[in-house]
Amino acid sequence: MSVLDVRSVERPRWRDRARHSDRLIVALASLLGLLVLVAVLAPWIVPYPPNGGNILAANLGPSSAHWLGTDQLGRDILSRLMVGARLSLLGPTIIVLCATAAAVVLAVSSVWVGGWFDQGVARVLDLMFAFPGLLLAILAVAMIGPGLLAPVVALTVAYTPYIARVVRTVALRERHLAYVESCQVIGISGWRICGRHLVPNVSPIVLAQATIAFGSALVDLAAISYLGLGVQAPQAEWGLMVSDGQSALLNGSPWESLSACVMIIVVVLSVNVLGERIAQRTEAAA
Amino acid sequence: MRQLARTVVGAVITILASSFIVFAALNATPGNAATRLAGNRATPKAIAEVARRYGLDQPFWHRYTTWVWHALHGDFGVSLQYRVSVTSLLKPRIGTTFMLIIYASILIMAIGIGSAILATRFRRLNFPVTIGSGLFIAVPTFVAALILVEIFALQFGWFPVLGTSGGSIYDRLWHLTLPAFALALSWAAYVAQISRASLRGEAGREHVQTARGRGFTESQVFRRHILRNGAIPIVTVAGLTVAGLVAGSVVVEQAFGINGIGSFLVQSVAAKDYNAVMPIALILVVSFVTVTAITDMVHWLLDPRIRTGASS
Repeated sequence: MSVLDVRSVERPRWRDRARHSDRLIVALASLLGLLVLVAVLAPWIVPYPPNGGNILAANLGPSSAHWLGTDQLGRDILSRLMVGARLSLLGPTIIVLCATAAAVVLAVSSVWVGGWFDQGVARVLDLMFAFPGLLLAILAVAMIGPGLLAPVVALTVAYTPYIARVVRTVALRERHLAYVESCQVIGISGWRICGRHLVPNVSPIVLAQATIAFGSALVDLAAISYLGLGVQAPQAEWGLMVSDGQSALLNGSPWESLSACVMIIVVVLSVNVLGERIAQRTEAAA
Repeated sequence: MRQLARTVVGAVITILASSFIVFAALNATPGNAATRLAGNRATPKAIAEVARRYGLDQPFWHRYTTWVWHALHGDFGVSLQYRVSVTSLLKPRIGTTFMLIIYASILIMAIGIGSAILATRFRRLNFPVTIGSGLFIAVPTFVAALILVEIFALQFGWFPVLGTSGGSIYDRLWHLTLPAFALALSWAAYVAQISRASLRGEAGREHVQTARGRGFTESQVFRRHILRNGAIPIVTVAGLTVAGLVAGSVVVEQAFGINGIGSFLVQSVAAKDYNAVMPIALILVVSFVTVTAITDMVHWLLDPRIRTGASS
């Protein structure tokens, strides 16, 4: 088996996979879209009220009445999963939107202005890297109190440098391309060059980064709720459901914990693969 | 040498800055520490007395510098929750946490780098490693914890469900096995993914073909040409990973009911015991910064290009 052989085999295979990945992107995006739709419509389509249960029918296994069984208070697990999708997906969405906006503004402006401003932004970002997102979220809860607000704010701050670093690299490359100088020469303002050319040109990379960040944000936020510092009972949220079901799991009825676990894994997995494929496509196009 | 000094200075500045941020953030919160220490029904006079005794009536800068000075001597003040010194509460817990982190780090290196090496050496293993790492990356620590408990503790009964043991070192390691695997799983997958990409990228390069053409055996080519050059990104990602474990241990300790500093942090936050929260947060940040700094140094030792770049 010679090396040349391997290379000539691999080239067309990659091209095949690029075409394949189009279908995969569509499939994953539709799956996530469906989940969002269920989350939005949840209050109207749930089979049972998510917070009303029959304590006498607690910890039941899956049946035709309760597809995923009932939790320790006799509440329908499927209904709680559907309603729980709202907070579980809303939190990371807010985090990613705010962090991405902040990162793009910071990175593009620091690349554009350069000099001491660029240096200063780089230093601040370095300092922010010293706090793991989860730790920052826990400290924010210590400051503000349990709930969704503190971890969402903290994770937004924690995710900004990760996105900003990538955007900065791409924006820096873009800024030194000839077209930027041409724009300047014909007298287009900096705001307009950044807004109309620089930002749109870095947006595919931003999209890939934001997609992957969504997965981590969901995991971190669910972890905070799992620790009992985020979303509070009796509200439904996937991380909280994992911890709520833990004692039932130890007593032999794992349905609540495991179904919430599966939802988290499915969403994070789809988002990761989606982000990777988007990144691959942008690289292939570049 | 200059690089070493620069890294150390950078790390110290980061730690000092974060100590200030942590102190400022937690002291700006409502719910005065003196009120907490004096108790619910204390008279204003008693509260003032407590505040004077613990120096809480001093201006902010004075309190901060005193706190840092005492912290450097291993004194973190009194726990608002237990009313004993925080240091005495941390001491028995910190060993467990570090044991857990080291155990998980070893697993991550062994599984992550090992599977990447196997996937590069044996083409047949490439696909399962790619799929496996992609799948396990998506499994958060607390989810992994519950699934491992369900399978290995409840179904098979191989490992204890919860808790730690004060017994022999083997017994303690046995109790920490499931937690360490839960902590290691997604990070090992991440390391495997990055390492595999790095090694495969290196395997396709021309110097490797040349080495093969010169008649070196596959294992020689792998060790001398692929592994050595592919190691640089692996070290970077492995260092970042171990640093990430510091935060991940908080979740795992809570999931398995392990009495380490991570679960103590969650307890203290829930009880608004800021005197305990501050040192734990700092310990975590210091470990994070230290591991990152060590990674930078190893990176610098491994890659001569960085060295020449720094000196010019």
